[in-house]
Amino acid sequence: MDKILQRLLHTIPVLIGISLIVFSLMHLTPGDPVEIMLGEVGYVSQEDIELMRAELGLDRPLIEQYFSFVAGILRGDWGTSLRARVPVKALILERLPATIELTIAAIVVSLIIGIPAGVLSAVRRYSWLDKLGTLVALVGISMPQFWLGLTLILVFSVGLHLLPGGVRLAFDIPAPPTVTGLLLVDSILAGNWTAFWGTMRHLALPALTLGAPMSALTMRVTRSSMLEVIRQDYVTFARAKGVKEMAVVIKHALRNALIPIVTVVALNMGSLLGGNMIVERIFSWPGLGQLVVDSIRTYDYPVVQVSVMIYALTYVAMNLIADLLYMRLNPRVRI
Amino acid sequence: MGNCLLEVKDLKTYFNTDNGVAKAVDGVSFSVAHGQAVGIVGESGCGKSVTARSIMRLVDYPGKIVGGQVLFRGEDLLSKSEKEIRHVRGKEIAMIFQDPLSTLNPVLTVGDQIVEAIELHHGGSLPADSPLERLNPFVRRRMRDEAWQRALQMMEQVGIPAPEQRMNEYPHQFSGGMRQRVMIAIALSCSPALLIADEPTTALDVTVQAQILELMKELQRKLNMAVILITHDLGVVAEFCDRVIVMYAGKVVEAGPVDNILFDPQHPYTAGLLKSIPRIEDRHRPIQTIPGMVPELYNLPSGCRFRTRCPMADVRCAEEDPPLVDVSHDHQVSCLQAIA
Repeated sequence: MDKILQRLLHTIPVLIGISLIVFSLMHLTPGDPVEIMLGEVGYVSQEDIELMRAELGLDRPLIEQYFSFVAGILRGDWGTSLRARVPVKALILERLPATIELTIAAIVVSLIIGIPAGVLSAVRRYSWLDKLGTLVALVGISMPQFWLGLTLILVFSVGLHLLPGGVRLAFDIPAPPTVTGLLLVDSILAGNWTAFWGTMRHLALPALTLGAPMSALTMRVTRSSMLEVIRQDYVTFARAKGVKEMAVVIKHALRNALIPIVTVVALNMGSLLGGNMIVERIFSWPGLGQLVVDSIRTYDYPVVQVSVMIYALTYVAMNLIADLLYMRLNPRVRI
Repeated sequence: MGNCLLEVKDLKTYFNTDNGVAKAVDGVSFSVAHGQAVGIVGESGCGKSVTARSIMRLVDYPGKIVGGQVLFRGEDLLSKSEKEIRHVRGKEIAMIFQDPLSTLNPVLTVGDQIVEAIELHHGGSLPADSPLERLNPFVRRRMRDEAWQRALQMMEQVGIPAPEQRMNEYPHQFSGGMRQRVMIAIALSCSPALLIADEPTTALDVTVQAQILELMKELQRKLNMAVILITHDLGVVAEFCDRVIVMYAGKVVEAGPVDNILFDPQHPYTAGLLKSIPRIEDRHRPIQTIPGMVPELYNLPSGCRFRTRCPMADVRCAEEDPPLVDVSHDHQVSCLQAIA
């Protein structure tokens, strides 16, 4: 427990650093938000500008602004979107579930493809299967996501009419009542299997596109980690005990190999966040990624700030999860 | 030999390397009787460990058993299927390794690792349930409990204090000697007829070495088990073994009862090994060594493999491959000079 607490305390300086950077985003980027906001209205006088500044608190000293910004974040008052004129919180909470659902689906895809492929590659090293796996992984890592996404749409949606190439759920299927915002969970809760199946079909292509580079990475890490482990004496000893080859590979080798895999994979989950913006755009996915891109384009600072904050927090959380899983899997560092 | 448990005949295990074929084990033959302790000695890289692993068919890529027979209770292990050999491993022939830390799985508790071995082979005393019955959770639970009890007994038998508590600990929480005891507990949990111990005491402190050897000796007697002890320590052999096989560069150079080998060595290599043991009465003299280096296994000298380092070698040794022949009852040597 001590170690977990310690690990949690370590995140505090990181969070402070993040808040500083996010805060300065607004002040370091060129362009005055007030002028941009008022620019849409047409003619504005100098007084109007000053009035607006005071209203937004932009005339106060920077340090004071920073503290009120942090206090606002902590209180749950995330400001108002300059463009939509609605609370940022509402905007983001509306978009976040879509992104979470897509990201989790991509993680699942990458693990389902990456780990078995890596294990198989390691067990049958230097075979044609291994070589094929390596080639596919190389392609997976090098392929730009926008190209992969468009190709998948072209083949599976436009060409074969097998899978939908955009949005979360077809318009003719009534969506389940919102509970968590995650359509898969909501449709299970409502017992609505039509919506569940529809959501799965809609998720398939974007999740595959988003998860492809991750699967390739997972596969490569799994392969090298397994090759390392499979040479160890305890694997030979397990065979000498008469353990079946399948159990040797999964129970004795993979459990040990997972330790480095978890670390590398969890730390690289960050790349999914960047991928989200591209994939959501291609598949018209109503998630946070699209919102961020739009907000950056229109200088909607409050939205950008909170979104960046969320991305950073996700990254910190991934790191934390990686460390906790590492502790869970590795009795040598357990308490 | 009606009493013969294991008979290795002309075993050949080669490794394909970038430098050529390394003949790690090249025509090794020997036999082990029920309850007998046989030592295999030789320098590092002479093929002792590969011989041991070949018996259990545990040679890893790029090694390959290319010829010979391993007759266990008269059946050739080398021609058995993968499934059949699995029932021999652990149940009939068990093996322990040099470094207990790297041999025990770091992410599984010690208890789990002993229980696994017992469950695999029903630990001798567990009922051989039908496969259908094994799916029954209650039966499984009972089997698991019985295996756990048996594992506890094993922990006690190998002298691990507070076994109940230590069963739930991980290998890194044990000391070197205790780890080796755990490994012995795993190996002996199914009462094998033959134990292959590959340098079981090399990684341990001297005082702990003696304890482990004593434990092995005691259990060997109790279980009436044959042991193949692989070591480079002739002191250990003197204490533990009935018979000794001396290997050099992948071949058996001398084999015989332990007293013959230690007090009347026929092969110049065996004699050299014995001379290189430091003795307390010779403490003012420098330690004797065998000059030269072990030849590389993919580039062996012609004729006798030891001739490049042998003080007695002559022209004939370069031309003829010396056969392994009897020099006295049950004592064989492979040296042209010794036979002459």
